[in-house]
Amino acid sequence: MGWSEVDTVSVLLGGFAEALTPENLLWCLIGVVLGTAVGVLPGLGSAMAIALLVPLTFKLEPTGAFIMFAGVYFGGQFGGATTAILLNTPGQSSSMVTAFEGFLMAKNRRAPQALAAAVLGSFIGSVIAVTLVVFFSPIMVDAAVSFGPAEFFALAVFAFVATSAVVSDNKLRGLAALGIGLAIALVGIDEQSGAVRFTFGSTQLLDGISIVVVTVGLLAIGEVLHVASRAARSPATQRITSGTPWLSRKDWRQSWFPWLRGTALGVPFGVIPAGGSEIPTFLSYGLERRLASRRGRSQFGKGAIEGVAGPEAANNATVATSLVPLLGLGLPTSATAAIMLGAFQQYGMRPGPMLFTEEADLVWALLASLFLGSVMLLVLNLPFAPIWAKLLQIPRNYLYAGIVVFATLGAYAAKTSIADVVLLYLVGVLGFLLRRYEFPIAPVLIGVILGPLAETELRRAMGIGQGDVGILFRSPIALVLYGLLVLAVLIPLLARKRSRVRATARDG
Amino acid sequence: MTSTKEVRRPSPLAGKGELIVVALVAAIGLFLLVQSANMAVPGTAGFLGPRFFPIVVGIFLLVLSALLAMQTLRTPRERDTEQAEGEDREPGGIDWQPLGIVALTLALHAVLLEPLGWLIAGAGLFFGVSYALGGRHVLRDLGVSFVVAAAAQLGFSAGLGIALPAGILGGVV
Repeated sequence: MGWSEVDTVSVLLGGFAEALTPENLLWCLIGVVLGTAVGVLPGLGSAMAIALLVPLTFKLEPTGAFIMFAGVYFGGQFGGATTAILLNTPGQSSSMVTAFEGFLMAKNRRAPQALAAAVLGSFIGSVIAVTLVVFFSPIMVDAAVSFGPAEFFALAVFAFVATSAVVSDNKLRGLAALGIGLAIALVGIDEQSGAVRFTFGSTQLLDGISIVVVTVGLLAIGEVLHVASRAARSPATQRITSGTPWLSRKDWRQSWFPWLRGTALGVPFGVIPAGGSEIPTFLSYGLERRLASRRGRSQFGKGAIEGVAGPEAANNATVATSLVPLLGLGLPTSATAAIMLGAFQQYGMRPGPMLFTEEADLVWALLASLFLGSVMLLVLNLPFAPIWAKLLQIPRNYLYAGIVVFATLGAYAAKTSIADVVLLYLVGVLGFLLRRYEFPIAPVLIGVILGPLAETELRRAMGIGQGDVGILFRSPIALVLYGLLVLAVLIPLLARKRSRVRATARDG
Repeated sequence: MTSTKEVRRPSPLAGKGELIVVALVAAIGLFLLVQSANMAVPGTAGFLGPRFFPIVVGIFLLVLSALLAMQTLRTPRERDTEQAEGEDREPGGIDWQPLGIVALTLALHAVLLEPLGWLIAGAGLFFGVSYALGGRHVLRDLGVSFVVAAAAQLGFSAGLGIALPAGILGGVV
């Protein structure tokens, strides 16, 4: 093991020095403000925001760009709770649970307390989880240095199956979405042999379909088309009432343990490719609810502060720890992480063990800026949450028109090519069809971004093994990954069977 | 604005619209297989070569499309029976008019961006989408459209150094 805690602390301090430069502080601030804004607005997520930002940041210094992306990623989780509580409109799917008790609290004129519990929970979840990231990433990197083609292939397969089959409600749709992503990534010149593949004879497609075009098309254009397809059924704007966030001593006492328990639930979910932070929020909500009823006098169903505090801490912890596999292995565990991975590739970097040596300055400045970003988010959200909720008063037609304009410019700017704009719109139509018929988008993104890696490593491994398939299963790490995969597929199946048995027992 | 209370009766094909996606999945799979069979493979290609992976993906997609087709046809109204989480999941028809206007706007923009230049085409893009989504203050919306397009142009050319198509206004701006 080449790392000790002392090394970690000293490089982290170096990271703080870099992150505290006025320029990087500014990027961090822009990131968290943008992130909070997209978090507040329903329909816009941090995945879409980062996808839209990637083409705008080509000319930036990568450190600043990634600090900004991380700010957006974190900010989205903070902002999502605001509208969930005030308007029962979760800005992000990870804040869906927060709306259950949070909106009830708001109806009982406890909106300020709900907001404070959510924001402080987000803060505590982030800070604890980032601390873990700082100390665990080097360990993961040490383990990953020995990875060869067989291990990387196993890792990619793990991510594929985990995101498409384990998480999705409908495994077939998840897998089909993954296959579409893999197919999109195949277009262009094959790097290893130079063969031209699936370009429809177009020279524009020789470089392949750019990740920017795919992500922006699927998320931004697809979303706008989806909104347009239901435009006549839009909800009316609602009135926002709130006061200054303030927690009584009793509120603190009730929130403190849910924050910590939520964090503990969220942390492991960031590390496995389980498609984001919805699952831990549900788990945390369920846990708090059960604990409250065991204690007696449960407030659940009437606006329980624990039901806000726990899930918000959980989703932020998940977001933070998802950076461990992203930076240490190059393994994205959510759609947003997949887009950040794509952004690294645009800058010619490959996240994984080498990133920590080759781009050490960037990585540690990024990690340090996560602490700074969390503090900024606390300051931005705690007193001003009701002001953020006013963003919902932006006319919806301007909002989506603006998204289309930025999406178009972003796709055009990458290569100054009209062909990319046309492709963007076509991918947008695909994204619309997938959304409309409830095919998940995240597996498409994972397929596009990890597909080339999977193919390259597979061919390399088979080259080394001279055609011996056994080489893929000879390494213990790969075997562990495949084993985990089997478990990950089986456990939910068994759990579902059990809960179904229990449900029928209860009904009957 | 049309009434939001309008009752939508499911058409006979309701719940089977996803067959479009299933067909698309099958078409992509078939395309990968056919193209792989006809691919020119350089002699230098090593183990497995450039055709192996696409063929695997192609077969994978074809198998999935078959399974999905079976699943869809067997449980045609699945979308209604599954638990509806939030409004995003609620089934319903498509509002063709706004969707059509957005689609038309995008198509026109892609064709006209180069001849008309960003300022006009971009403002048209903004206005078209805004109109489709219910923006009916035509003058104000047009004004906002041009301000957004101009601000974007300024930001991209001055801020990022990326030239956007000038089009017919090339001599003037």
